[in-house]
Amino acid sequence: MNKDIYIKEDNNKFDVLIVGSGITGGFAAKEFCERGFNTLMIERGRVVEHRVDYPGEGKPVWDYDNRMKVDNLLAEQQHKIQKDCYAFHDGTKHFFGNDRDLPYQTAEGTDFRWIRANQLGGKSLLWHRQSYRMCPDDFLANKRDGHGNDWPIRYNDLTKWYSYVEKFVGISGNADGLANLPDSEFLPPFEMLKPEQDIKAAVEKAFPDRHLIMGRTAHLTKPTTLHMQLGRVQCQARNECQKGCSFGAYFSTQSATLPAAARTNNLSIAANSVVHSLIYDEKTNRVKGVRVIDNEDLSTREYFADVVFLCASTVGSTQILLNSKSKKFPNGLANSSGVLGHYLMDHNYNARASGDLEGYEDEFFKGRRPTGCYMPNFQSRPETYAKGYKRGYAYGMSAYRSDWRGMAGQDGIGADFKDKLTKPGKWGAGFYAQGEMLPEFDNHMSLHPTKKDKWGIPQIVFNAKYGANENAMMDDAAEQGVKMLEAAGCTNVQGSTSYQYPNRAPGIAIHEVGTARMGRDAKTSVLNGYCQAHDIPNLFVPDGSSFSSSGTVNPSLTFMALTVRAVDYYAKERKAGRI
Amino acid sequence: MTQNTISNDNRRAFLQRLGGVLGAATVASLTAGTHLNVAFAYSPQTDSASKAGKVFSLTQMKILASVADTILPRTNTPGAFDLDCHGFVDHQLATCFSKEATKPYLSAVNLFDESFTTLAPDARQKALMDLEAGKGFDENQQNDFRALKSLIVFGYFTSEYGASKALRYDAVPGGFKSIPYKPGDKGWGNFAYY
Repeated sequence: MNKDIYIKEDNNKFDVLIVGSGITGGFAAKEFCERGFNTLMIERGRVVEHRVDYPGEGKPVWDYDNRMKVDNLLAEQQHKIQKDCYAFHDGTKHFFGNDRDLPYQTAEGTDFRWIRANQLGGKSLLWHRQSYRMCPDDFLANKRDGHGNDWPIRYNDLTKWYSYVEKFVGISGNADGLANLPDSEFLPPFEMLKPEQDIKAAVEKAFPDRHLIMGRTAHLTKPTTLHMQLGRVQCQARNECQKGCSFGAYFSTQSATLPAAARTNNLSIAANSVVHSLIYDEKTNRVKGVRVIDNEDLSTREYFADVVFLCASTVGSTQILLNSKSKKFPNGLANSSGVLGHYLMDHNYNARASGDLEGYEDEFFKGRRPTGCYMPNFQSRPETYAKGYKRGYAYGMSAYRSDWRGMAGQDGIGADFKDKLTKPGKWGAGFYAQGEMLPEFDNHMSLHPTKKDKWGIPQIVFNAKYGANENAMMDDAAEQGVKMLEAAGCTNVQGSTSYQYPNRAPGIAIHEVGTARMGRDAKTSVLNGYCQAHDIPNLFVPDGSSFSSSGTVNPSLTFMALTVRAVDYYAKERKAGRI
Repeated sequence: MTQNTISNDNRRAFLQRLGGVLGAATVASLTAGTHLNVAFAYSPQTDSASKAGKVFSLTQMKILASVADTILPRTNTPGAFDLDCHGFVDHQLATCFSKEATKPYLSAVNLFDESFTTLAPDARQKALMDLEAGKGFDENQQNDFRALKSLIVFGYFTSEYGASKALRYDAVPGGFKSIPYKPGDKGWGNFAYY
């Protein structure tokens, strides 16, 4: 990246401040820059240059100090929370937050796993890339069953923005024509393996309301001109994405939105800039800018603009708002409703089922597929809810052929055992649930009255847990998973839940949403349907905090669609002189 | 050749392959900013069984080496001893495990005394098979041994030989597809997660 793009002190007023550089911040920057706005992206962490700063990439396992495992002392002292994330290892640890420097609290009797990625690109470098549209039922769930507030938007409000985003991102998938999972604009899907095809056929026959499809993922299986102009090329099926990808084959800020924004010459980036709070002008009822504390030397500075887009992640954006207090907003900026910080949700990945699959000895594969199969939520309307709980869940699913990692613990000593480990073993298959979490007022985050982090920002206190509804859902998901694998002819089928373990508490799904929810009524919601604060017209929060309900699909694609729609709305309102 | 040089060579090889797709100019920029910390890095040794380790005493290292080589003996391919799996286990326990978490591994090695190392290969194999079958050993001891065995196997198949010669190493597959499997074909040697 051109060095001139990075700034530190700057007293000039920008057109736009974007706080955060992840999935939403990157997209906001691209959209504003392409519309000609003088844009400043503010990132609390260090710069990560595409291709240059991916030290784990292309390094064989034996070249790692500890074969990709993390030094125990380092993990215990600096990554006590982050180490619970599936993607945390020696090739990715530099993209995860340092828990020693990023303390937070949890209320007694609750737990929360807050996974952090504080660097340019944020969690877009680390995400799992699964990309699904929310379905029409998702936007009606709160209205239909009375939990949470009604979404102020419907699926149709987002369709054209989903399409726009998908063409730019590049989503591989199959057009399945399902009502409960609308199709995206697709690049070719990854291949579904023969055992998976057979499980699909058996399950769909035994359970006609359920559909097993190829996972949809933000990988370039066949890049378009749009992608190649940004230096992105075809996915090589390494499935080592979280180390960083020099092929630019998966969507990240670095691979896609940042180069698109930078080529307009309208982008500046302030890295190592921790936003303490927003600067609010009571007379005009506008935000004027942000107060920043330097990540490294703790000095202070300010940036100014006509509009602020908070894209600092659900918890991050909400923390900034809660910490922006004034006479008019003593409980946090744009919080006249009092719901800011409440209705914290995450997904619930705490049920699974797996079994052995006989046969298929002559089936194998080449490459490492960076996605699995997927079964969308089949309980998206009250009349389809299961007995004993509300809402539903989706499943990730895949068939796999076991290898030495699975066979190492089996009986065997000597030459035959050694030879066996060099060959693929038996096939197996598994379903992994991904459940919705109900919006509850009591599940919330607040600022600690006295404890602060090293930047002097009050620490967050999480007070959230999976409730009886979520646990009943996981119990059922484990049971249904078992039934489907048995219907598909699997043997040794076992189901299990894991919500009882502290390290499987909310946060660990890394789909936290809902703490500045959108709604029609300013008395009960923070944002309107354009992610614009009801209280302050030049403040937008298009990240996950805007969600009224969690739905069941991976949320990033919807973050992007909401962001682009919010930018488009602001640009038009400003042109019309209404903001 | 030091471990550091091996690391850079492998990374360079990766970057050369990448060059075919992205162009040499881009790849040249990739070589900037990479650095490798070797202070605590494991690198295979040839004499791990003749000196005390970081976790194990000299006697325990001899036993561990003998156990490892019984589980994965030298055949027409190197065995666990040849690949210093015992040295690796010692390093890994010292570096990546809490003291508490090393206990099962220490207990497993302590199931044997030095006389184990003097047994004939067949007798050593039978002794470990009996252990796995629970003949004369309780369930905790079986579990401890299984943990140790798994770490030895991990050490073998994440070594350069294990991952790239004993198995098929495919750094940049180029795509994903199903292929037929013929009896005798080796499995893949690299994974997204270990």
